Amino acid sequence: MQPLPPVAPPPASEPQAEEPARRRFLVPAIIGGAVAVLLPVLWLTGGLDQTPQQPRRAPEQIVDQGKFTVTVHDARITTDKGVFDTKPQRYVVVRMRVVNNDKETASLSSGGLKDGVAARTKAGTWLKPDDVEGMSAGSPVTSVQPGLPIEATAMWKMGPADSPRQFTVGLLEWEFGTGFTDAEYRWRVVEKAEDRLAALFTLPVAAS
Amino acid sequence: MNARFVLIRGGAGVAGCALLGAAMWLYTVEPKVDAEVLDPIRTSGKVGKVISNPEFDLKVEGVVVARSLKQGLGSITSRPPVTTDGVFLIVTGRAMAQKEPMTLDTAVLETPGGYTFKKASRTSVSSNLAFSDFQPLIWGRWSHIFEVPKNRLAGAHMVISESSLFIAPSAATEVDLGITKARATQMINTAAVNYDPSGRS
Repeated sequence: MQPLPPVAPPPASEPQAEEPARRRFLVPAIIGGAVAVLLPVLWLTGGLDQTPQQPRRAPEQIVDQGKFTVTVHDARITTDKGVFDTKPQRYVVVRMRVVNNDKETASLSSGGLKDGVAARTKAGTWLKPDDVEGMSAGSPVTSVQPGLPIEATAMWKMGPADSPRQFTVGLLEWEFGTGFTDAEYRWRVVEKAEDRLAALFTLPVAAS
Repeated sequence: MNARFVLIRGGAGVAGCALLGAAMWLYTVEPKVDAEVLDPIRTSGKVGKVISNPEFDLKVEGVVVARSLKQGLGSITSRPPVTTDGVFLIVTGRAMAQKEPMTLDTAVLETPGGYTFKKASRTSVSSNLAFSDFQPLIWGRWSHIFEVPKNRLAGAHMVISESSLFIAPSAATEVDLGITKARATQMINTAAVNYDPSGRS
C-alpha cells in the first residue's frame, strides 16, 4: 500500500473564524435578555414578595377580610337543637362581630360570611362551619346589611365525647374581581386561601 | 458589526417579550360594568302612580319608617318588638300581572352611593304579604320590609322584579320613594314603634 499523499489543509475561511465569536456573544445575550425581561415582570406581579404568612391575631383584634371586618370574641361549647335535629347537638361555637364592608346586603351562609371562616382540625385540614347564625339588636338575622354590624356565631358540630381545650380558626381573605371563567365582578374568597389567611386565631374553649 | 447584530437581535427579543407581557396583562384588564347582560329592563315611576311594564302593573301606596316591628303572629303575641340599630322601611302597595300568574318577591332598595339593600332578614317577623302571587288582571297586595342605616334612607329607590328560579326576569319596576333629606329626618323622628307588618289590619 502506498501511503496517501499528504493533503494540504483547507484554506482558513473568513466565516468559520467568525462563527465562534458570534456564538460567544449570542448565548450570554439571550440569557441576559431573558433575565432582563423576566425579572421586572416577576417583580411587577409580586413574585419576589415574601410568601404570604398566616398572621396570628388575639381575640378582640379587628381583622379586615376585604368583604367583612370581623372581631372575634371567643370560642365555647354549646348544645343546640336545629330544625331537623331530633336530639340536642353539641357545637363548638366562635362568636364574632361582623361589619359588612360591601355596598350590598351579604348573606351569613353560603356565598357570604360562612365561606370565609374555617377551623383547622388536628390533621391540618380546614373545615367550614356547619352553620352561621346572626343576631342584630337582640333578634335573629340571616344576613348583614351595609352599615349595620351584627353579632354572628359560627358553629361546628362536635361528637358527644369531644372536649377540645383549644380551637384554631382562620379567617380567609376576600378579593373583589372576576372569576377564572366568569366575568362578573363580585367578592370572592381567595383561591387556595388555606395558604393565605387574613388572620389565624388559637382560642381557648370555654364550656357553657 | 457582530456586537451590533447581537444588540439588534437581543433588543428585538427583549422588546418583543415586553410587548407580549404587556399584551397578556392588557387581556386581564376589563372595564367594570355594573349592568349584566341578563338584567331586566326597568320602568321608572313614583309613589302613588300605576307603573306599567309588559309583565306587570305596580303601585306603591305606603312608605312607612319604623323603629321596631311587632314579632310573631298578629295580636296574640306578648314577645318584645324587633328593634334595629338603623330603621325599618316598610313599603306597601298593589300589583297585577299582565299575562300569567307571577311572584313579585324580589325587591331591593337602592340608595345613593351605590348601596343595595335586600329585604330585611328578620326571621321572627312574619308578613303574609311578603311572598304574594299575582294573577292576570286582578290587583293584589304586597308589602316589603327593608332594614337600613338612618343615613341611607334619603333618596331611596325600590326595584321590584319577577321572582323565578330558572328564568331571568325580563322586566323590573323602579319606584322613587320620594324621600328627600328633610323628609327622611322627619320620617325618622316620627318613626312608628311596634309596627305590625303582618298585613292583618
